[in-house]
Amino acid sequence: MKNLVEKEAAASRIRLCIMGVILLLGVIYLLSCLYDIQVEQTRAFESAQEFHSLRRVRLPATRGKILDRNGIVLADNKPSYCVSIYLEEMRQKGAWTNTINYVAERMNEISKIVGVPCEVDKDGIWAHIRRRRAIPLVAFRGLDDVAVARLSENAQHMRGVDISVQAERVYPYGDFACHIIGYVGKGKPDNLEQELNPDGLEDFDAESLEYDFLLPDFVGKDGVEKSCNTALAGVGGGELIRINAVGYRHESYLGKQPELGKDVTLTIDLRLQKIAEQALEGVRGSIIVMDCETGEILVAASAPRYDLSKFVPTLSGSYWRELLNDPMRPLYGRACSGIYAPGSIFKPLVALSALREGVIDEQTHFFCSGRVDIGGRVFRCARRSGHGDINLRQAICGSCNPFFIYAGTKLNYEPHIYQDAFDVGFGQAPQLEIPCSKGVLPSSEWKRKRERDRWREGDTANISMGQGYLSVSPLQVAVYTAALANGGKVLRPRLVLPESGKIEESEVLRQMNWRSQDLRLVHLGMWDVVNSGWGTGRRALQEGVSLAAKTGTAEYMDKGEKKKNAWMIGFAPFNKPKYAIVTMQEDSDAGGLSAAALMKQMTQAIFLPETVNANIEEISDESENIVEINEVVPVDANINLELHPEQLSIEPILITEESIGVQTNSLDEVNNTELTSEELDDIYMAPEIYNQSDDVGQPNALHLLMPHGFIPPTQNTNEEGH
Amino acid sequence: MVLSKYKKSAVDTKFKFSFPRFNWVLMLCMTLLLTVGVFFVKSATNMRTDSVHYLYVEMLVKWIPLGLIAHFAIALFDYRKLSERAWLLYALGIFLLLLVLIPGIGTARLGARRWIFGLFQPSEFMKLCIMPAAALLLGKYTGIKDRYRFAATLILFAIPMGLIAIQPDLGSSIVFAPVCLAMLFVSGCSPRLLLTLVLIGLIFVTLFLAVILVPDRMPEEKRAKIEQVTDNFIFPHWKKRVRVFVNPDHDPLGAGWNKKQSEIAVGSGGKYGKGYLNGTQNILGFLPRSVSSTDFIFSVIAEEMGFMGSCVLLILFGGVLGSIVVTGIFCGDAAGRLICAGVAALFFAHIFVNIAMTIGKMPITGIPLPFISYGGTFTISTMALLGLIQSVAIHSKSSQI
Repeated sequence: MKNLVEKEAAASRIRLCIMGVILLLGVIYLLSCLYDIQVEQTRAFESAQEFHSLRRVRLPATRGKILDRNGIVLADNKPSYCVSIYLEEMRQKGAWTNTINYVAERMNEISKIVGVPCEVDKDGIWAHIRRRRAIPLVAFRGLDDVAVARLSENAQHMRGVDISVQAERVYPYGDFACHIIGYVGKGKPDNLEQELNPDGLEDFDAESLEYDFLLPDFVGKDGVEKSCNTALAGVGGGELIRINAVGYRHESYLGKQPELGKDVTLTIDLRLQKIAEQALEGVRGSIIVMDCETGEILVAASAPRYDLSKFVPTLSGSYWRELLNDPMRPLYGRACSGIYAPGSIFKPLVALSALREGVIDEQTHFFCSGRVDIGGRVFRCARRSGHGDINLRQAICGSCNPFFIYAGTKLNYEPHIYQDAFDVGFGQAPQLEIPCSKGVLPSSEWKRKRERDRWREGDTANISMGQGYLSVSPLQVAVYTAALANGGKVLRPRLVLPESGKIEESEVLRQMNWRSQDLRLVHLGMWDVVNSGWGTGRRALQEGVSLAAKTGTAEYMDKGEKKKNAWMIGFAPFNKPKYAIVTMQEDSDAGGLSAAALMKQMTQAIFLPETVNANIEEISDESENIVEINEVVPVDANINLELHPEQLSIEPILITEESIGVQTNSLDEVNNTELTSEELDDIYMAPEIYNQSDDVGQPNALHLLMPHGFIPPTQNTNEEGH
Repeated sequence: MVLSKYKKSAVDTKFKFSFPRFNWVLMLCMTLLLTVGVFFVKSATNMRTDSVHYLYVEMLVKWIPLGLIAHFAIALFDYRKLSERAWLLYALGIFLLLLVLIPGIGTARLGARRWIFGLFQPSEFMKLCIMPAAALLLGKYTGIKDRYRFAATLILFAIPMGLIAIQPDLGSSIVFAPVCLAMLFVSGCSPRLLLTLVLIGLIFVTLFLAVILVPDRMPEEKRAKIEQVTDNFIFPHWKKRVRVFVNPDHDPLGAGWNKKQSEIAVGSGGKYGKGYLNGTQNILGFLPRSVSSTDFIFSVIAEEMGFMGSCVLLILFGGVLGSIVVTGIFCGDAAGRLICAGVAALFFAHIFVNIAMTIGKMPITGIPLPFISYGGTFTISTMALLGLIQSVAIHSKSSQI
């Protein structure tokens, strides 16, 4: 037995020896291979390395265009010649400063040849080296053919200099719809990893697949350029470049063709948007036109705006700072991001809730004495003398505050008004293709958290007139107006048309629980606002347009100063509503004045197109080129094109406790103190008004402002345009 | 020279003079290789300015000390006692391999779930676990019929290989195959069975290649159909690597790039190399920086140190392999011999596949070079495996040949 074990052990030792010999042979095989490669063939590999280096370069895809709904190009590309410097080719021995000096020298030489100053200085080179050396440094941009030809003749001895054609973004209409279109900036393509490793497997593959040189690419930084970046950007391709002894492109081999970016078609109508922007010239405000059947946004104008063409090819630091420091806040897209108290335009919603719940009906008569006391506070009506005995239709027409305070307090804010306001989209960000503000829809719980106070009847009274804590964005108001117009369908607003080019089916988010007879009543009230002699929005009356509307004037406190935002919502044609229109002007007079004027211009532009001249001008290409070459702005590396939230946030116009008492809906103001009332409306109200005389013949300052030949309704002389 | 030393130590015991029967050659080779590793991890990452630049420091202060602790702890522990608990160890290894498949515990990097809490790779730990278990099975249970013993061994290896392959980490899984083969061979498995095994392996590899390469010559529609089916069980990147290996011009931007640049790096090194920290392929980033410190570190060494450097490195590796085999030959019991055979085969697989891959003689597989490549668990496990060999050297019964 023992013998057997010994024998077996000896045998296994021999086998181990055999194995050792096999392993040794393997090592010897490796050595012989290495000898072959490193000693016999080394010349071939050395020359492969020195004379025919292969470089992998990413080819950016051409970015898709942005079009308006009629196919007019709003964001385009144009070719531009650039000189790129491959820093690694110019690497000098020793410290990096040697390389930097060397590169700077080369750049000076090139600058003399092409006659264009260099865009980067030594700090720029250093920053480039520190940050991402794998990308060629673009030193000259926007060269013309002559300069390129001269450079090609002289560049023989320049290793690591390459001329490339780059697509540059162009915004032919300058500041047109800038908040919607957005802009691009240089950046790392966001789908780079996916592009390199489409299989998405195993780290080994993905990490090793780096490009040596990444041509700079544009990435959307704002607006549709940002939100549709994936579609617009396309997929970059790759190219293998064989570089000869002098480091110049010797031959190239296309590894992968870049996929073109897709065009994005907006629902925006160039002509209408342009007219809206012209109407808003010089003021702060917003106009939205929404198709109340499909949810398409035809116009989303904000003012003031900024010039998109100054954002490409490189945004200068001075312009950016100018925009940031502008007190008018042009970077702020008011149409989607601005939030304001809605004022009286909220009243139709209160009316519909109250009608549905039965606290009022068509027959309800209310006596407006011009003031109402709620919880010890005095709320005043726009019409100081009161409207007298009115019903709902008249209350909407005259925007009677006490009537809606009565209806609102009788119904209570929660749950019905709150629920309806929530359902119609207030307090939630609309699901538009670009980011939107969500505004504030207060609730008793919200107030308890924020103010450590319970919900009071005064709050309900305030909110019944669209004041108080409630704040909404023009876009939310547009969705609300469309819902009023189309029978209660809350549509998802759309800014980007699908690829088919037409929205087949509107996306209904919710169906409001509004009864059709109630809606009819409210519609009639809104009809009166424009079309009756004493409606607050009669200034929006336009021959040939059947418009139903509601005005609103919301007061807010700005640094201790009382200011007013003018609103007007409307839909037309009356019998078969097609468009919902919202106009809003910040720091204005009254909804019945400025907002109504904007409304009138928009209805004219939509329904009577021949009467309005859109005055659309493209920025000519040549002039832009001259600008580009003459003032070459040093690239400010510190410009961050992303907007920080704090830069964007205009203090939300939240009505604070002290201002609640003095909220005013244009002329239908509500005061809890008699003292302030006189200062309120001095802009458009002559002091005589405070005489509270109801005399028919009483001279009224407003009469002077009204269109010539307008005869105020005899019954309501003191009623101011609202 | 080596043999005489062993004889001497055997004689020494007679005089009750206990000269530590430590394998000094192995120790020396390991130390030198680790030193080379630290130097070239630094060289490979020298151009990086981020934290990667300090990988060699991490290696020096973290992984090598931990490896040394593991090395000596195992070396001082009697491997025979370890063999008695081999099943426990094996079960632990399998448990960890199962654990890593659970999404919350195993951390994935780009699709491969290999790390437990991002800390260590159980597949490396398994390499340590399987040696005593296989040695116990093949060396001790000699009472069982050979056929069953060998079948059991195959199953013993197949379980962890399957678990590692589904991580997916095919490279790490395949290195278990030569270990299995070597241990079977040394344990006295019939040559017929071994031959069958090798044949089955070859058929498998041929099938694998055929499935990938044959459709390439077919018309496009047919190919696409077959691709769709095969994508279910072969990873696309494996297909790519095989195609690149067969046809170097395939995918020159992607997988072909590493192979080509690695070959240029090795070849341009010449006889004496370009000098430490002066490898241009490495500095200019042609060798992808993400792998130059791990899987492609040999290219850096070959470029900077030339053929002379490669020779020295291979001699050191030869020293490691040789002293492992010699330890096995002088070991008194079957389990020790089997462990030595297994460890030697494992190291050989790593060294051979890695170097052959950098010079284009093998398809690219993510198998690192022992002691040289940067890696946490990998460094510890290789050092622990050598600890096991030292344990065999120290604790085995002295025996005469």
